[in-house]
Amino acid sequence: MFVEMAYASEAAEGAKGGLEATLGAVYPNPAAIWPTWVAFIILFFLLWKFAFPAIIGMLDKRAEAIKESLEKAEETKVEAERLLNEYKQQMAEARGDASKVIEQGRKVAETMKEEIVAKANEEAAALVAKAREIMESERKAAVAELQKSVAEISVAVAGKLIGEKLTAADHATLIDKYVAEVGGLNDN
Amino acid sequence: MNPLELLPGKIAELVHELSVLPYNNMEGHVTSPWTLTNYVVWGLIALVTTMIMFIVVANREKKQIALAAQSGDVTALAPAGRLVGALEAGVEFIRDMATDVIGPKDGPKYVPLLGTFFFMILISNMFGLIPAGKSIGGTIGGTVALALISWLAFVWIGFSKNGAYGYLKSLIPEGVRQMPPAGRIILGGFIFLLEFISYFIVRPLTLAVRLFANLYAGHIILGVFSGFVALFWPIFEKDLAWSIGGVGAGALALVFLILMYAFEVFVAFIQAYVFTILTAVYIQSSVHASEH
Repeated sequence: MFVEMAYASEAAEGAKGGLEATLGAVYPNPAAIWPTWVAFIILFFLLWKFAFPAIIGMLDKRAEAIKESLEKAEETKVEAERLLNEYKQQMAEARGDASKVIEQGRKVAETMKEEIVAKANEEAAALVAKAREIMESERKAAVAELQKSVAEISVAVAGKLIGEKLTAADHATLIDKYVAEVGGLNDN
Repeated sequence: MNPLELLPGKIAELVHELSVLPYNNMEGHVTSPWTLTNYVVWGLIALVTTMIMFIVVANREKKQIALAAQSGDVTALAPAGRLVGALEAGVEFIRDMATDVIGPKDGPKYVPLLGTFFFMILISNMFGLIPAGKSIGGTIGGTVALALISWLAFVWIGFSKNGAYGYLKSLIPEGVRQMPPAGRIILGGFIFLLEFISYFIVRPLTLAVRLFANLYAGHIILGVFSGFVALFWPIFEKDLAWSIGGVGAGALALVFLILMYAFEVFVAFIQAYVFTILTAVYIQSSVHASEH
């Protein structure tokens, strides 16, 4: 089998001459060498001058953008935390202020209440006092009226009883004496 | 009839198909270096494809960068699409390789050179996997051409960075250079000879042969397995045992063919990578020659 193989491959190569026939597959054919060089040079210039700068530029720009974005995100996070703390503090302060205001309001209301109550009490007391005064003067007037009437009636009755006319001087003396007696009675 | 009897003919045919032939005449011969060969046609297809891909992607990148600069909207820099992503990943891969191997200072300068090797070999290898397709690395002429470019690059860099004396001196290790004169001349001369051969002959030769041998062997293996499938599969002899055996062997060969195809896709990547990273290593040793 291997002999046949060897024959067959020789038959295929046989028609060629020179170096190529001797070296077979390991003959570096110039027809394959120079086109490889040309292709390499073309591709090299394309990649060197155009493609690689663009692609590497993109890779670098992207890496830079990612780095910047990460840094910015970190900054934003720190800033957000700072703001949050600030707001929390402000909220706490506001809450404290609010309770202070409420407390103050309550105090003011209480003071007002006390004042109102005190004033009402005062007014009531004044009213009562005034009423009492009026009653007293009324009573005094009534008493005076009564004394006068009693004196007159007593004089009239006495005059009739004794049947004599008193002189004006006697009359006055009698009244005074009587009034003094009645007043003394009243004082008791 | 035993189908195996047809195999030698198939293999001869396969070897013939893999050789450098005029693109339009499989029976003819390449008589002059200017003959348009099967490899050149497929190489041209690979080249044009690579160029179109890079032009499209580079234009897109330029447009997006300009857009981002103009509007300040960084979302224009976001990754987009498979082709763009694939080429970006490839370029980044080469750039990382260059900075890792050659160094962060000198590496970026050689990215276009290494990238050209990588993408040219890789994409051409992919076209070589298309049935009847040819890869630049599939013929020794193509790999010799590439290896000579690599050789020219690292030798040029070695001489221009270190000067002729500095570069050649670096072939002899520091310790030997400080030996007494006798040792310096005898041992130094011997090492210089070895290193000279290693640097200037073995390196390009191995680059060329490694790429070629891997791809050629791969193509032969794929050809042999597909030959097996073709030989066994349609055979239905009067003898039932032969028919069953033929179908069984054909099915087995088909399974192996598919597995080998997957493996060859892997090899296409690996060989492009190996060629590129070795070139990078050689450039590194040239750039830093005077340091050791």
